[in-house]
Amino acid sequence: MESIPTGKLSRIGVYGSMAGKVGFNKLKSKVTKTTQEELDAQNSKVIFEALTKLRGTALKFAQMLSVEDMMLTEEYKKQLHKSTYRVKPLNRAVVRKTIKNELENYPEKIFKTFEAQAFAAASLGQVHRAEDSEGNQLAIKMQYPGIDETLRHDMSMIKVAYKMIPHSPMVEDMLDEVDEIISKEVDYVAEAEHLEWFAQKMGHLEIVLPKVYHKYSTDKVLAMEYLEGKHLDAWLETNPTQESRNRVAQKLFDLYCYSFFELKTFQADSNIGNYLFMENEQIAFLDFGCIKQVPDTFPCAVIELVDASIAQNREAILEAYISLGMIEGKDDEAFEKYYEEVFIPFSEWTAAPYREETFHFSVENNFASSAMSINLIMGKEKEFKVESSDYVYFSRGLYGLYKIFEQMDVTIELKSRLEQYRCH
Amino acid sequence: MKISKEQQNETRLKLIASAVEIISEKGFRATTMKAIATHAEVGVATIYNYFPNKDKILYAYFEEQYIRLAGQLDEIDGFEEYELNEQIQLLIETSLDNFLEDREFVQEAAHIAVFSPFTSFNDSKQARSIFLDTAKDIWNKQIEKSGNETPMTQDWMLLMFWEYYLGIVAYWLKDESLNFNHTTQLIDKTSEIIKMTIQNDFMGKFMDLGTFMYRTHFHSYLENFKPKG
Repeated sequence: MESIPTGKLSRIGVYGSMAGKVGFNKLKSKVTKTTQEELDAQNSKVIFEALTKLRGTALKFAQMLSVEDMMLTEEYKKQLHKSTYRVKPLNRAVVRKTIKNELENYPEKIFKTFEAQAFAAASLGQVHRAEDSEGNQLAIKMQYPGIDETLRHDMSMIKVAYKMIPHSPMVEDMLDEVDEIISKEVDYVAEAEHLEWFAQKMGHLEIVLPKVYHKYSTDKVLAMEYLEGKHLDAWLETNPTQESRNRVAQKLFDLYCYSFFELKTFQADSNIGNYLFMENEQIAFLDFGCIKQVPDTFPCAVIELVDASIAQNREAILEAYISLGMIEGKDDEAFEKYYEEVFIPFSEWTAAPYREETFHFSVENNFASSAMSINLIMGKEKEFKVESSDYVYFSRGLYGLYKIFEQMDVTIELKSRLEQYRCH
Repeated sequence: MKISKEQQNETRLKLIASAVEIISEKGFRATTMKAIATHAEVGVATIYNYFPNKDKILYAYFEEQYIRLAGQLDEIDGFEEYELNEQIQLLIETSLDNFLEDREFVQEAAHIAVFSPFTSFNDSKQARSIFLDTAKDIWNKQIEKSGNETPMTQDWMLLMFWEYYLGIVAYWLKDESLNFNHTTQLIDKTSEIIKMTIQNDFMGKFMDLGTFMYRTHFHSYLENFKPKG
């Protein structure tokens, strides 16, 4: 079991050696004329190794980058994606101590049973099964001890390290947001509030949200109802029928729409691990650490963009992008410059699933990733900067959802759903 | 009047508790045997039936702590299935946790006696051997599980483990991090090393190397000095 280097010095060591290695690789390329791809591959390996050693912040950072595919070459992506699976659990003595620190007693004194071995990894922490004296089945999520203390330091170091891989000002802006999101993620009190807020707002819909057990919860430990269900891969292995898959995917999309258009709040971290597929085609949402709120006018602007793109109305597309905060105003030079390369393809990507009554998602047609090439252009252009990253996050959330749909291989109705939320 | 064993033990514990309280407040030097006795509501002469001097009360405190520690580990669910490094961490963390309410006293004790290099080896022997018995017990169960033989260096390594433990306690006494997280991390990292050292019998291998060097080189070198003839 590997431990997290939390001491400032040891972390500087990790980053330091990483920076050194990347620098060395760059130097080497001058001498041996390594191709850009090979160099990227080497650099990404070095960075990845350093990131996984740091677990916590870096892991979250790696996960966020891997799900959105933002501006990263295939090699970086591949390396970073591994981080999701590679985390080693905390040693059981540390688990015990964390429970004692937070809940003021040892797990065996508080719970009827407590599994010292975690059954799932969570961002910046891990999840344990337990049962209390009243027979409630619990999922106890706990944070890596000392992780909050080192977050800020980590992020500033990552920002330094990030300068060494291909990036743009846009990515740098996003780092600040990642920073903000990560600090929110270590606050389990806030997460419990989000969870209960969603439960209240979405309680009438077909969704299962785990109950929070406040008496076993603190800002570093979150006790939730344990839900019986499968993650996507395991669920698909049970060979659900096409109809069943369609229905479940439709439900996922409807819930996303409701949360976005009605509540103007959405889960910015559309990670496969956040959903649980239960019996009778029920879906559970598990993670509420990464919530993004958008201005009231934002959802309407998304519909305007879809309309404008379908109508191929240049003026309306420009207006919609202004409302979305992607460009500053009508005389924004970037719009002219990247109109063909970025703005048109991006609006087409956004609109495509809403052209016909139904849309088919499959791994073969790989629709979600077509946004990648557009992202790549944005990521590479040094001058490309957006006013507000809301739209970037929104498309990232959608991208994550579409990726899940592709894996499920489904045909669902999107157009009619958009009509339902049309603004007047 | 004859005093039962039970009563005797009760008085002994009361004296230790009083010493902890007064020493935490006033410091070791400023605390007198008389003050301890009065606080424990024990006759001033009687205290000497239990402890000949203040030092002995310090050591008795640690003896009691380590007896309690052994019992606490027994109570942990599935403790025997834990990895060696996890068991080491539990052993030390539980001990530190027990010290927590008497932290000032332990600090004082660390200065005065138990952790000082000037302490006579025999004074802390009893406390140490209770602690090390627990450690040895953990280790032996691991050996049994793995089917390996008990290494020849075991006793010596246990003494090293004691020194390591004292080092951790000293670190903990200076640790200002929230919930003593730094100490937890230090134990986490070092217990991994100890596990590796023990499981791979590094000490035995070093001794082998030493014996080889001695036999083949140093010893034959000494042969040169043997009187000829």
